[in-house]
Amino acid sequence: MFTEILRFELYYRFRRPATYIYFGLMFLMAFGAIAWENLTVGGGTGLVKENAPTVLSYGMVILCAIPGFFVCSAIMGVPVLRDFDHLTFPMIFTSPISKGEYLTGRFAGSMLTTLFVFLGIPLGYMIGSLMPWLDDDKMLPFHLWHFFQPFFLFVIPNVLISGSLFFMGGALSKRLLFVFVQGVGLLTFYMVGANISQELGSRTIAALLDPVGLNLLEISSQYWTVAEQNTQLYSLTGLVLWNRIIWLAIAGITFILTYRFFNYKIAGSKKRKSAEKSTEPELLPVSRSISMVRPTITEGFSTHLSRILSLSKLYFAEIVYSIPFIAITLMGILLLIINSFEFNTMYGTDIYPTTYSVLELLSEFNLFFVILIVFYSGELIWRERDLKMDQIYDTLPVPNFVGLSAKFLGFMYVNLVLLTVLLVTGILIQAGKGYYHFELPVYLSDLYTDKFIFILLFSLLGFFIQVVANQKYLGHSLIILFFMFVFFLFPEMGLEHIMFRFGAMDLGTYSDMNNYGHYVSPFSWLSVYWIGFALLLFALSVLFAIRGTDAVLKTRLKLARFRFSRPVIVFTIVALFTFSASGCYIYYNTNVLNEYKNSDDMKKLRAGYEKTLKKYQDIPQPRIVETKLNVDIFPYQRNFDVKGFYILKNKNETPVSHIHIQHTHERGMKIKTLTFARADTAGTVQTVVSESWPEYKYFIYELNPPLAPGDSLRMDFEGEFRTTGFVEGESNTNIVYNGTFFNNTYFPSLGYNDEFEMQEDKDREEEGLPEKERMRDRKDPIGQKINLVGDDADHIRFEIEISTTEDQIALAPGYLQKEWTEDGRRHFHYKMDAPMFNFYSILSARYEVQREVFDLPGVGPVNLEIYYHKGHEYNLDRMMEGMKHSLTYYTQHFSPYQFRQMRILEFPRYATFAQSYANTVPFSEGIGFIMDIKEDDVDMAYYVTAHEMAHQWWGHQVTEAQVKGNAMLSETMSQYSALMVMKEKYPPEMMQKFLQHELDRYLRGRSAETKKEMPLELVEAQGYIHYRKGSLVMYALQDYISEDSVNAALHRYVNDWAWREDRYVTSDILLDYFRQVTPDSLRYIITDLFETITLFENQAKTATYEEISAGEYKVSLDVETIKYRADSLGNETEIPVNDLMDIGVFGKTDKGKDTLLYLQKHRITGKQNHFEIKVGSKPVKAGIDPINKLIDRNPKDNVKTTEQKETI
Amino acid sequence: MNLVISNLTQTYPNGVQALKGINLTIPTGMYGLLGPNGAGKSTLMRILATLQEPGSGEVWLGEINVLTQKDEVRKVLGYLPQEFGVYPKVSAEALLDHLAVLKGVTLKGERKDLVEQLLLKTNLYNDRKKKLGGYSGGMRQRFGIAQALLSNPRLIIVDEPTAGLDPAERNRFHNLLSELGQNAIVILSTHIVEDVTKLCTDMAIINKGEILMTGHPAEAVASLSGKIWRVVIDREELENFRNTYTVISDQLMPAGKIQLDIYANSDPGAGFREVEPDLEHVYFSHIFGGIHQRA
Repeated sequence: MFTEILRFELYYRFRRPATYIYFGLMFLMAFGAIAWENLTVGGGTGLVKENAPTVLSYGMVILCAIPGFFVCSAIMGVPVLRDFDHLTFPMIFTSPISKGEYLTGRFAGSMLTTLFVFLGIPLGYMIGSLMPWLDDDKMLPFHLWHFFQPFFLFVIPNVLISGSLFFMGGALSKRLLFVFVQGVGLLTFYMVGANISQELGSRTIAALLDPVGLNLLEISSQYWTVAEQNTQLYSLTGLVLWNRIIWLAIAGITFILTYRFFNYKIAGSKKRKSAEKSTEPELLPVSRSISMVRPTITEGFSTHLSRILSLSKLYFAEIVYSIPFIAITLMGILLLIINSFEFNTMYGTDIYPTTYSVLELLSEFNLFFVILIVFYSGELIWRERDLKMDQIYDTLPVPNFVGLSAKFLGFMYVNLVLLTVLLVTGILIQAGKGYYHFELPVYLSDLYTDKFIFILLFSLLGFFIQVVANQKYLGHSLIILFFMFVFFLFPEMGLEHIMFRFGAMDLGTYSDMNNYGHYVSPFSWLSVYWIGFALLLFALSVLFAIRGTDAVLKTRLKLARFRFSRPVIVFTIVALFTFSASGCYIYYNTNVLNEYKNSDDMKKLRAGYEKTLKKYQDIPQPRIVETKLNVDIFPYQRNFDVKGFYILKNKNETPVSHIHIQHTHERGMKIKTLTFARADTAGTVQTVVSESWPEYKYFIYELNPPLAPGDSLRMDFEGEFRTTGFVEGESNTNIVYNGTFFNNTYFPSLGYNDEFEMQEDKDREEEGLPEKERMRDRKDPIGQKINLVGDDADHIRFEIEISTTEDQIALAPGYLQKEWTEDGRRHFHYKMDAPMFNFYSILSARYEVQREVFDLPGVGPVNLEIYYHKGHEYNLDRMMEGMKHSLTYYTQHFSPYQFRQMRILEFPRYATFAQSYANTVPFSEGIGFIMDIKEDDVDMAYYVTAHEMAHQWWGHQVTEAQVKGNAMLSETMSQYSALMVMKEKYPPEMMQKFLQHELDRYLRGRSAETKKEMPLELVEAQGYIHYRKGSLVMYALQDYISEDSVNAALHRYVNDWAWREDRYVTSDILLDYFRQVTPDSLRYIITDLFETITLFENQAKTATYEEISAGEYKVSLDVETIKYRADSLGNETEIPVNDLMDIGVFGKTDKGKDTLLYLQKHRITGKQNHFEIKVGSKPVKAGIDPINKLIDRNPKDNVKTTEQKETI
Repeated sequence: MNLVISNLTQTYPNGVQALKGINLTIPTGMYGLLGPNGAGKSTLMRILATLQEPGSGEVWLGEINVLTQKDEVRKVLGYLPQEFGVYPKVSAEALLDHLAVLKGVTLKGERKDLVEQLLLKTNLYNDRKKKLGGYSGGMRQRFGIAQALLSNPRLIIVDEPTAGLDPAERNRFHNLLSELGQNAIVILSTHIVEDVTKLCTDMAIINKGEILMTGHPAEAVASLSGKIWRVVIDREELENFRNTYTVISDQLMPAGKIQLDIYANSDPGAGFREVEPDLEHVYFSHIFGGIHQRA
């Protein structure tokens, strides 16, 4: 019997076109994912090949989830459901088939069908990978197993898991909608996992709890290098094995539950019973004559309105009380609550749950809104037909727009209620974290404008698609496809202008300083524009809605003509006018008032710039030696004017006859005049523009007479920055209402600027440009003459006058000379007393100020100031302390602080960094200021402050050349300095916590490398190396050779290299200083840490102990050590071990905390090593490199719990 | 006011000709549209109820063009579809009230009275608070009539209302309908002859998209007087009789016998005896007897 049921199921399935359509869909998605470059399904970065096993696995798992759940639920949800829909169940249930045979037969048949459909995925990938147009460089040689191994390892289990759940949902609930709800549930599980996997400690849990497999893949290959990603298959071990076991077990249990609870009787009997109960009350004398009122039948607008209101309430109630709605909403809220425990952290430290950050958390609910829109637009449009009430409704004397408006309105009530639920959830999350500063206006403006308009637009779109498609499930698929098109494919296809991207506008980043700032205006106009468009869709929906039993296109067109009545015409005209008028206004702003360039235009421009002007890159130019500026900022207009001059000095040995001037590419900035004069009064100079490329803003001035070596020239210029209307795409966030922060990139510079070149190799290839080296070679003599901020200047004398509005304070590097108010504007005059490098920022905002005079030992009084936004007082003391401690440490160990002031200036969170200018540190409101630093947390405010303070030495005092390895000199040394300052204040546990994060970020960074991983000494602006690995390397160095030795080397290095202009310092030079303080026996660590990519695989194999006498224990420890060298792609070669490494034993303190009983460096040679260590109290754990000073991809297995040795 | 149907045709995309040039004039009163399953009744009903577009032809309700002035028709229309569902979790009273709003009864007091009266009339008053999901087939059908009567319709279309009802419930339903024909056009489509016999003043028989007969039921019955003959035969003889006579109905009797009614202008002999004709004979004589005659 089982085989017969199975046979019939397969017979039925394989005669249905749907089976082949689903197969085709899976095949095409997979085919497109690999063969169509515009479509990326979770592919690897740069160097990872398109058909690498990891990329294939990842892509297959995604396809299993995104179209996959939908397809799987459509197949697996219905085999039992079908018998109830078609009312065939009485025939089957009364035949001599057992429940088990029925369920297993249906299940097996559908499962085989599903697996057939999902076979489309590996086949699609396989055939796609063989397409001739694919770039050979991007492909590995064809390997059949790479396509089918993930199919067996991930696709089949995933289908079994989700299929069992869907089968259960369909069989037990007998409603397809429940099956979809289960799909949402599985995705929620995944999303929770994705969120908790941000945290270092929760990743194992996240990988195990993931039914989808995405988190599992990401976590199990998180540290795989490019080479491993290209060659290694996921194996059925470790996390993968356990995940599969857990979920297959759940699938099995699910099937058993289905069997247990499936009612194999004429189901629906429940209903019948209740019907039977309602026996006729009495047989009343029939047809009692009842006088009937003749009701007044009203017509017209008010009647329509009351109809709409009455109907919309009904629809509202229908949705709100429906189980899918409640289930989806609860899942969404649950997701938010779970994610609220660990959101917004840096190095494990929480950011205060400010309203805007809670709103960002709440936007994780967006997916649920989308799901609700997709579901309920179908349910609502099909409401009457599904209930078979359509014939009654359709003959009511009610125009089409009434029904549709009511459905729309009812759905909008639902969403408004949901938004309110979100608001309350948000407030509860804040309150739960002990944060009571609820900013209701921020909640309201985000939820009820930005989110609500999004919902409104996509609901109208959903309605329209459902009306036109006139098939519910086709409609669902079309809506999902539309989402994917608008958000992923339109930009790829060149339709990137915001006016083509339906609903793609938002209120931008909220900042406490600048609120929603200038984002409000484009957002409002785009909202009007798209609402106009959506209303047009609504009018079309009214015209084409199915009414009656005829759905033939011809009839629909014919009916549409009848329905095009006066009110509909008026409505359509209003909508059309709204759409086109706002469209014109937007176009006028983005393309007329402002110049619009799409990304292709930009690439062309960049390529043209490079092709035309690259030849001037190394042409000798004078250097700026003095800058004096007048800047008037008009923050509320988002404008500024600049007027000033540079003194240019010819530092070359030959005369300079042509000066190359590059105006900025920043949009809105215009240089109005630019003139040259002799800096001294000895003679005159004639200048003419001999060549110019206005499109590249590049001008060559010919000097007559040429500028002789050693001579100077004064260059005067005037410019203005103007904001007119609004722009397409990224708007300027530097010059804003409150929190202006821009730097000298807005002003003219000298010569060719290679930062304007295209970086991406792919783009460069398309434009016929050679691959680009990220940085100059360390030995490049020109590079050695250029410092990190460019070749325009060495050090400059600097003076600036800034004015701003009366309520703001304006700042720039330098000491305040004078402050005054004139004509309702505030003026500030700053002057630097010593040369600084040519990098300065200009800020203006409504600041509060905290001031302190600090007597810095060895230097004298230093003015410490923090300019902050009111309300951001939380961590000012930590920052202040950070400044004092770091200035003290650095002055004591490196060299005296060169300034008499230091200022931290808060700026809006459009960017989240801090940056060190001469005695001036702009510091984003997004980091540090609003961190909720608790007792055991890494003190981020203190750390960032210490890092930026260190740049006053590493960068400002000792300036590095712009060549490979430069960031090791500034960023790595600043990380080291900050670590040392932290180490003085905080316990080793916190240091370890910090370094764990650094290790994680380094290892993950290298697996996302797009070109080549460099050793630290040759780092090419790779943050994961110069910051993350840098911290680890320097911490290890000072651990091996002592902090004092490192500081002694740095002291000498500063002494020799500070303030030099003849040649800037390079990393090999610093390494020489380190070598000088390193004993011969340890010289190898310089090679390991700085000159190569060296990794360890340390592991504690066994750890036992025995009590040899009272209070004395002997620990026996077997460890394994492998040492690797990796090349730039991560190919590893084992090398012999002859290293000093920590061997440690942990005990427990009285409070139960781990404490080191023993930590000593031992010489390790060879792979296996045995140690016997005596300790004075009971050991708990022991191992090698127990506090992870070395770079190790499995740091956790370094220690092992010690077991008491069996005494025989 | 009459409902005038002229030259109405309808062909479905699959080639089925559902209506082949229907011409009918339907006056005020209860009008029976009798025909077997698949005759085209429901297509015709749906066209009259503004739910479907015909291929060609015209339909006028007094001065209203039913095919183009759909909203005008809907204002005076009460329609009980052949099959319909309800909101299972809503009570009869609430749903009627809601539908009344949609029909344009916006005055709250009036609406309340109207709903109450309709519930009384359809004998649902005691169950008015009960959820519709718990209603029996008969109650549901009566609810259907209640909603059709909401706005004092002048055209009431009732499509196969008694199919699936037990005899007692059908009886009750007939009584309910019989009142309606007094000042409205009521079109009752059915394949059950008894419905028409009991209720209708006028009728038409439709089969395969064509009108076979129109007229008064009583006159139609009278026209068959003396032409219907009955005999009881053995099962084996049936084939023989079919070939010889115009058989209009056969009915299985106990013990393998068959009762046969035939149409014949004079006594056919062979054991036939004359029987008093009824509407059923009229119906079957048109459907199976192939007799095309106008009464």
